[in-house]
Amino acid sequence: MGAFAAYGSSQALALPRVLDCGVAAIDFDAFYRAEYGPMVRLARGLLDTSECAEEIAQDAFAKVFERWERLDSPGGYLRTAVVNGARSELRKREVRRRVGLGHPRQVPAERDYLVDALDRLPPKRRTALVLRFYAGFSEREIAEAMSVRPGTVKSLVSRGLAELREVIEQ
Amino acid sequence: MNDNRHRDQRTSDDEALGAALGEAVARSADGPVDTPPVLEIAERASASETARRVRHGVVGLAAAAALIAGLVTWRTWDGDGGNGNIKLITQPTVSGTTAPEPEQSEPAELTRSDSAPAAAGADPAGVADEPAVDSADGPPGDETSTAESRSGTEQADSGSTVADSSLLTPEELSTGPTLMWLEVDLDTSTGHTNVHGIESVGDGRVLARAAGDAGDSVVVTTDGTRWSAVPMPAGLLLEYIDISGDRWLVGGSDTTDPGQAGRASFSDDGGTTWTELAIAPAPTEPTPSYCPEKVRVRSVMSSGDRIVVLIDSFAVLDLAALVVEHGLAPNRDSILRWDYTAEALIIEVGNSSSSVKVEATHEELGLGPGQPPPCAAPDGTHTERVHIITSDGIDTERAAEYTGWAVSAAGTPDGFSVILTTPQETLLLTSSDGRNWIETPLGGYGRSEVARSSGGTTWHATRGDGTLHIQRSGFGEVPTTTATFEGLQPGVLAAGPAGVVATAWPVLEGLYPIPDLQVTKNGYELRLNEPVGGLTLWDLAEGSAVYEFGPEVLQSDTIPEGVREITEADGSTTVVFEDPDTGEDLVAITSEDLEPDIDEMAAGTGQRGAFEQPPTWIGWSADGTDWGWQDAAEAFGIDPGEGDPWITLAVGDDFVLARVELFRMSDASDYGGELGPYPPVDDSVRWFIAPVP
Repeated sequence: MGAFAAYGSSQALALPRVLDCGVAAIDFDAFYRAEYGPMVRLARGLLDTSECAEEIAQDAFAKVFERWERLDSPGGYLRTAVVNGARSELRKREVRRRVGLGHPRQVPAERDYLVDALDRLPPKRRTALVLRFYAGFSEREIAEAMSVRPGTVKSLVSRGLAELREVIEQ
Repeated sequence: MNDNRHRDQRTSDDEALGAALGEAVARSADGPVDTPPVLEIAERASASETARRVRHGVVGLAAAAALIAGLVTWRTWDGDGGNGNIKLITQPTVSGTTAPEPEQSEPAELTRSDSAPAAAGADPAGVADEPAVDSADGPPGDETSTAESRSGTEQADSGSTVADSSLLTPEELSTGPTLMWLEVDLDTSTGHTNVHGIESVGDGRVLARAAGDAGDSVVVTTDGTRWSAVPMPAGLLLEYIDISGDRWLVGGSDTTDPGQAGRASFSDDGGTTWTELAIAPAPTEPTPSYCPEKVRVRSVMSSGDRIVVLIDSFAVLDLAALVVEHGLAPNRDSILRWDYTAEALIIEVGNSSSSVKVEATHEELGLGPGQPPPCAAPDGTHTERVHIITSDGIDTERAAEYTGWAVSAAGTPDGFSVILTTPQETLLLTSSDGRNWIETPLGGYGRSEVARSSGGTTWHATRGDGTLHIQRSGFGEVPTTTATFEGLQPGVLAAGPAGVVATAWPVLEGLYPIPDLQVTKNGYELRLNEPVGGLTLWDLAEGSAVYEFGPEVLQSDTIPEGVREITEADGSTTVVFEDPDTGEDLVAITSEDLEPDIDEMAAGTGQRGAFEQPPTWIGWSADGTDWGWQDAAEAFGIDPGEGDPWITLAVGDDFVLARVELFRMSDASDYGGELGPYPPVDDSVRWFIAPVP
């Protein structure tokens, strides 16, 4: 798997399932090298910025590293940890935004209108949409990563799209 | 049929919108990633493990309760928000150290709390004598560890949970007089709103960020009530400012640059005209054209007409340049888009009328998994480096470079002073001219708040061994301790001609609070804090306890027999209780199981008491030696029921200014949902001035 593996588009989404299976034969170093880039990109996609993305990915890898011998599915654990880290950051950002706290978020001058619209969605819906349409997670994988029921995923995606459409039309 | 067609159409539209969204996010998020050495991850994990307190099994549930309550993030914020200018309107608040008056009636605005804050209130019905906790902050960048640590300590005096009789009171620590605060109101006549981010200039002025008709701006006041705008250069996202001398300096990032490049400018005419400084350092080693240096400003300061700008820089991969370098496209403008597969980069090259797709493997581009990152340092490391750039306003030069990061920096009439944390130690760097720097090891680490005062004096509030150390240093001097307060940890620090002010919180003794909480699941009820400091698992059908653990069990590092702990990906804990007879699982309690009860507690509707933030104390000293401490309720007349205060301070010539914003737990019912964990109270920003003779 190359440095640009996975998450490249809504179609090309080879998740590291292979690592979940033959994990015993793969040492952490190989796992890390294979997954670091995709996880940073996943965090970027969830946060819409490089800000914090590497930090979140590295924290997630540190958690995996600590539990390496005990994890049956380090790939799944890693994805969940990245999603949780990004969601936590989004929640903080949302509160900061609403009260004008903290550092102003650094927004690139040229941004896609869809990304702009996505940025206005509540963190949970936004996360679900990115996992579904950028990372290409299945509903089950989204449910696992977000620690919600699959039915909730359907609702989050459906409502997220509806709200995204509203924001765009505005 | 029509319904089906509509549904099909909607589904199709959704898929199209989703696909477009996926592509848009990909354009934004995809891109090269430099993979740091795996050793850094191992070091991060090790540091995290070291910092994390022992938190096992059933104790984890109590900890999770505290975490769920959303008390994790708010003290980590380093800014604030606000909404207006100020004019003096009201009478003084209650001051001094008299006891609170019960059942006090209106007016609420300046009424002293009728319930003492947690530290002084000291509900004795909690668990005393819990073991001391190592409350050191987590490693840099490990927010989770820090948050957990703070949550644990800050929660330990919460209302009906753990009340520590050993807690200090402000009166006990005070060796000097306290401030008398006057509430002031907004003056919107100047058109500035959302005044926030107050800071002392050091010479008697106070500056702040504000929003106005013409956009975001910086405003300054000399009396704490009347603000005037400071002209800023266009296109700058302001992060650092030094207007203490005749030569003003600002630094931040370029809002017109998609890469958000660092920028710094100076003005010799009070902000009327600004001159940009060339701060990009010359690379020490020749770097490929596809690895441009990115620069971030870390501080700006002036001493007379000498300028020093601290920057850090790092190489970033410019993929378009790399593609051109490999001859895959004639120039960057001809690259229409790219896509990634697991093996290759596919580049669409051409113009609006015609294009072709070319493909290169990651290995061909030097980006394969086994190949070294193209823009890493020769030794493969990614280490932060601080560059010291100095200028006389005409010529700019790089004076020094250090591995590490700057903690604080200040320009004084005598020269420049920087505190730098390196991988090995903390260094004090001083220079009279910005070119030649003297290194003085300070030794050790520790969180430190730094404030600059007039005459080149710098103040430090440092935490070590559960003690708040107030230190002072003149230019080029190693900081010397002027006061210590055992049992306090530092919040914010500000200094000016009117003295030094700080906020602080008590370092609490308890390990984790054990809230009075019952969770029912699968026919069992988990009763936290029953017995006090312990828990019981109650079989509802049998009407008997399956397990009963006292505080000694919860305080132990050993998970009791019959209980299993599962650590989830987000660090939360699931505790599984087994049947004592058969060993089969009886019930698994997760953090989520606690959420509804936490919400109930947060909303204040439960009968089990509510979580409270630890009290925020405000201390003032004229000379850094004798300090008068008061809690927020006493200082500002804020009833704890109104919300938890977040306080920022600044010191003027003869006054201290406080901006107080309230946050309320009762609005935290959507924690974990879409609104964030800990919303502020609407229109809760209040301003106070304390005149200093």
